[in-house]
Order: sequence, then structure tokens, then C-alpha cells
Amino acid sequence: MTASLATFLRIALAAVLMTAAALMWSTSAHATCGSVHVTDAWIMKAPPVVKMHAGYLTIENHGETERTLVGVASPAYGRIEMHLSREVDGVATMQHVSQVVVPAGGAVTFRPGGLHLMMLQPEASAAEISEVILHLTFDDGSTAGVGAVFRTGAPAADSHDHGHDSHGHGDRGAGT
Amino acid sequence: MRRRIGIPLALAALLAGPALIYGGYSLASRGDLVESARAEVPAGIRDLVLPKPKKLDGFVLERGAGASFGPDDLHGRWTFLSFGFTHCPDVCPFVLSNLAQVHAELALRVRPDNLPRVVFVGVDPARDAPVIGEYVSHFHPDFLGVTGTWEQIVVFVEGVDGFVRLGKAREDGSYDVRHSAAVILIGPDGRVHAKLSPPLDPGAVGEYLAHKQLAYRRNHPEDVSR
Repeated sequence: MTASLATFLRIALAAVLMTAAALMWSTSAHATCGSVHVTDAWIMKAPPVVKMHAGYLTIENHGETERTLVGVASPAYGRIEMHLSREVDGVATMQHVSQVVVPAGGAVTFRPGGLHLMMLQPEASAAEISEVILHLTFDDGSTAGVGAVFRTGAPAADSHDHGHDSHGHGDRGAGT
Repeated sequence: MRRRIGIPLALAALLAGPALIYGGYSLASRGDLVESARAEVPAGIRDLVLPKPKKLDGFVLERGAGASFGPDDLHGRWTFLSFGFTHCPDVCPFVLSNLAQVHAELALRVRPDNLPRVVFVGVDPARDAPVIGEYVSHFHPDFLGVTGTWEQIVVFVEGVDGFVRLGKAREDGSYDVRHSAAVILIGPDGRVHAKLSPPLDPGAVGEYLAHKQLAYRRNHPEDVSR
């Protein structure tokens, strides 16, 4: 009786462990597929005379392995390249980037003055439509899609904080 | 507490001042502008102040429709001037929309006749000349876009100790353009007073400009309009 109970418990434990392992495996497989989240995609509104646009987005990698972005495409543009704007010794320069690594558990943000999507040959309608679909391709062949909206400038989150700072200074300046 | 911090800063300024003046500002202007420690400079402003404001003369640019843009056009008002090119999708629209924010903030703070003009110098004449006016007015109807021949642009850029270079054309005909990133602050005397590193915080720049205008009025009592 005791022996058979022990066997039962052993089998039950094994079953539980296997179920748990199966669950973990399936969760991790699911996480690998869906571990990349692309958010806050937007395109800088440009004057109509300009036939190239800059796009920005954030790629979050919730997985346990790094992911490498190797290409971006959109039905609204003939070609999209990845570029990096940099200021070197006070001079604004731009360089082509062939891939962008998103570390495991990390995120990469494309923003004005840094990494950006250089979006060339817009379809005639690109300036009039409010949202553009971007398809991101990673080096393992997986893809992610995101909708990008047109904006006149960067989201004001940063400058809002600075605004408060400068108000503080103004007050202090007035008091002395 | 502020005093104690202030003395080493003042000492550092005393030591660094002559070095800057001795080195000339052309050397310093090629480097990154640093966050200033001077008491009158608001937080978040990275600037380079010229020990002696530099006169801009001997240049001619074009503002479209055959009209020229010369030293006289920089007199009588403060000017924010930036370099760029119309085929620049990232930095240039960002700086121009940033200057539009600054302009809107300043419009709340200063008299309309004291509102700085904003000039965008397109340094890529082949691609900029046909469209620069339309391009710049997209960001603000009062912004002025100017360009010129390559030689005229080089003369102007060198006059402000800036930098501009066109890259070699690729197979598809595209090429890179490198240019000074700083926003140049020109006084009503037509002289370069400071260089600011973008992006500019509108509130901080408003305060910064107020200090500059106050100092200018103090130093130029004859210039009653300013």
C-alpha cells in the first residue's frame, strides 16, 4: 500500500512536472514569437516639397535572446533605410546602419537626432493618409507590424519637464 | 552654499576665459558645446558665447525670386540662424519645428518688434534653391529660407566659423551633406553673439534671450529701439 502510494505520488509528481515543463516550454515559445513589441511609431511631417520622411519607433524585447532588426518596409514607401544621425565636433552627420540589435530584456528607441528610418519615394498619397503600416524584419526571419502616425514634431514629454525646470529658474531669478 | 559653489566656478571661468580668448573661438566652436555653468544661463542650455561678438560682413546669399540676403538684413533685430538642407529628413525638420516652438514661446514674452527672426541657410544649393522658401515656410510663415551658390555658402559658413561639406555622389545620385549643427544667435548689431546646441528648450531660450537683450541694451545705450 505504502509502496503503491509512493509509486502513485511519483507518477503524479512526474505528471505535474511534465505539465509544468510543457507549460513553460509553450510559454517561452510563445514569448519568443511575441517577445518583441513595437510601439510609439510616428513619422515627422515634412513639407510637401520633400520626398523623403523620417520615421521613429520603439522596439521592446521582452524575450531572453537579443533580436536584430535587419529591415523595414512599407507599402507607402518605395524604400526604407535605417540611419543614425550624429553630432561629431559640432557637425551634424548621418550614417547608414544595416542592422539594429535589441538586447534581451531591453529596448531601442529611434528618435530625432539619433536612429531613424529614412523613408524614401513616398506613394503619392503618403502625405494625406493618417497612418502608415511598417513591417519590421528580424534576422531570424520573424516580422512585426506597426502603424505609424504623422506628427509635426517629437512628442513633448521631454520639453514639458524642461519647461518646469525653466519656470523654477525664472522664479528664482525674479526673487534675487 | 551657492557662494561656495560659485567661487570655484568663478575661478574656473577666470582661468578658462583667457584660454578661450587666446584660442580664438573658431577652435572652440568646432567642439561640442557644453552645458554652461554661468549663473545667468538657464538649465538645459548648451551654448558657446563669443568673448567678442563677431561681425558678419562680406557675404551675399539669396532668398529666392532674385532677391539677395546680405549683412544689412541681419541688422535691427535678433536672429536665430541654423544650417541644413531640404533633403535632410531627420535633424533639419526637427530643428526647424523646434525653432517654431521657440518662436511661439518668445512671441508670448517679447514685444512683436523685438521678436527674433529665424533664418534657415540651405547649404545644398542644387537641391535647396528650387524649394527652400516653400520648405521653410512650412514650419512657420515668418521663417526665412536662404541659400546661394556653393561659393557664397562657403564664404558665409566660414564667416561664422562653421563647417559644411558635400559628400561624393552614390550610384543612385544621392549624397551626404554635413554641416554645423549649432543654432547661431546674431544680435541687432549683425554680429554673432553665441552658438546654441539644439534642441532648444523654448522656456530656457526665452530666459536666455532676455538676458542677452538686457546685456545688449546696457552695452548699446545708443540703440534705443532695442
